[in-house]
Amino acid sequence: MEIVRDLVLEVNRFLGSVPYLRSAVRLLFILFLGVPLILFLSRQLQTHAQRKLSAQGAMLASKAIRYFGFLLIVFTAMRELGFELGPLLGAAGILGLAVGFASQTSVSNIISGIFLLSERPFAIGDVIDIGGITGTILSIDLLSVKLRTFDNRFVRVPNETLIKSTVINITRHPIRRLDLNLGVAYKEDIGRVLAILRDVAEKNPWCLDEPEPIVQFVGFGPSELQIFFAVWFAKDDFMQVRGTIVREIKERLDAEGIEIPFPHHSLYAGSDTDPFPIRLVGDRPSSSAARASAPPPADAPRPAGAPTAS
Amino acid sequence: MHFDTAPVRFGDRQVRYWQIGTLDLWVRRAGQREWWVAYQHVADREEALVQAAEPPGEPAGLDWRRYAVSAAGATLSLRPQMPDRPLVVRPEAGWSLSPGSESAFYALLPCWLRLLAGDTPLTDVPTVRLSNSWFGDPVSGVLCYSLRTHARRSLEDLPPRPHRAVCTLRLRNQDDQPFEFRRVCLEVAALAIYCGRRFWTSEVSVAYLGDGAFSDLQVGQTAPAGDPAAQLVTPARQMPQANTFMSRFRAVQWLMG
Repeated sequence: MEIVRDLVLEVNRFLGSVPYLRSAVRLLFILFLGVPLILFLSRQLQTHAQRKLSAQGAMLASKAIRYFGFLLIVFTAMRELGFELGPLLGAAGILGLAVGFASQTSVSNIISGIFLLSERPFAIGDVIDIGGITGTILSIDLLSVKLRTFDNRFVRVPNETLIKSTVINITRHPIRRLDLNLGVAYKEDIGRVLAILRDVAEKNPWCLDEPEPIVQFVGFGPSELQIFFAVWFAKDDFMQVRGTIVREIKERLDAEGIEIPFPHHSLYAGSDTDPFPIRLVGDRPSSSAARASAPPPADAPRPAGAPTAS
Repeated sequence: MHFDTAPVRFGDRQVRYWQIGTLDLWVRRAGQREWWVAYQHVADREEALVQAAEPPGEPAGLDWRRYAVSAAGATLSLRPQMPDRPLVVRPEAGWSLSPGSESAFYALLPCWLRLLAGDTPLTDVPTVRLSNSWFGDPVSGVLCYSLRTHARRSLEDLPPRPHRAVCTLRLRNQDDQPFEFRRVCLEVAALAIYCGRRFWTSEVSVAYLGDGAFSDLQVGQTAPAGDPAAQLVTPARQMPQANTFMSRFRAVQWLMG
């Protein structure tokens, strides 16, 4: 203990003998000890906070510790170097006012980010749709939210945009519904069609039995009987359901001989069995009129867009 | 009636075939420490039971999955296992339990097959392809399987099935109002499997207390009353805990109306 005490006194005497040496040593001590300590604390906080907070909450807490810690180190270092912090903070206040006017958008984004954090309309890992852009949330930061689209593009969305826009959180709830509007020909037995579609939904392993699929005859279209078909599925099974149910509907309807009509118009002369009446105007048509009214040869190309009568 | 759980010896490179309910299963011993497994499901075939036979042939496009094990061995056994998700069971008709009454219902729960090479589990194979279902509301609930067969009031009404285990549900209505039993979500991970004349699960008892509240779930720890001589073949994946079930109603959940 005597030796240690003597050593400390000797070091102190040496530091005091050279101008600014003591301050320099203290400054180096603060930097080389403080910075790693701040980084270590922020990493530990992020690791442990994830057990209690969400991923984004832990990340923000870690960043807050880091920024606050570095600010503290800077102020301490400046004081060691002999700077008076009072006038400096006063100047910073005036500078802050000027910067504030210039950075209204950034401040708005920060404020919007705080509101987003408290409201929690989405979390890291959710899939959202904003303004037609769909992607998985990578991070929620103070200024912006980062997305990864399904074709692997990186999208940065300012928080202000998120606050002002309609955001659809596609994966917020554990189950989703796939809605399809189908049409079958007017000649089909609608009861039979509905039963077939229910059977298709029941046989698909990814479609949930409950909530029950919705199969309803909803209206009369210009060319078809309109059917609303909706099935529920677990949100992780979206690709399987979408990739199978539509094909199964088509294959089953084809197998049952049920027609899915394309849009068409039918011309009827009051009855669907009598031929369409044609009346010739004039007894002797002129040669040009005769040529114009003569039917085209069988192998003549049909003009584009020419209608066909059925 | 149940499938055999005794070990089956394989020769080198030998393939054996099982037909259990709707499941066709092929297993090949490809070496001292390598096993191949392939399976498919055939619809509308519940009573089939063919065990460890010579394969009648391999369908084209069979998807073989290969497993490497650390211990050399030539025996394979099949053990019944409860499915990996809760099961929604419905009675054959809506039942109303009068106040103070108690009733037993019997349900045939499908078993998964756990393939064991010696003592090493290879994989779990579903004996039937169950349909997904959701128990709860669109915002919260649990993903489960839907059982197309119904719970019956009489054990004699249950057909023999080699790949299904009988689960006895004892319901008690302790409320002063009738209780409508329409469906139940069973947390099958808390059920053990016993083997006697057929496969049985642990018995389940629960009481309805009124106002949507239920008593603690009671899961039997001994062979079921329907076959007291049945032996335990598969313990429960997780032990039932009263607080868990009471706070979350995970083991037995009921819907009224």
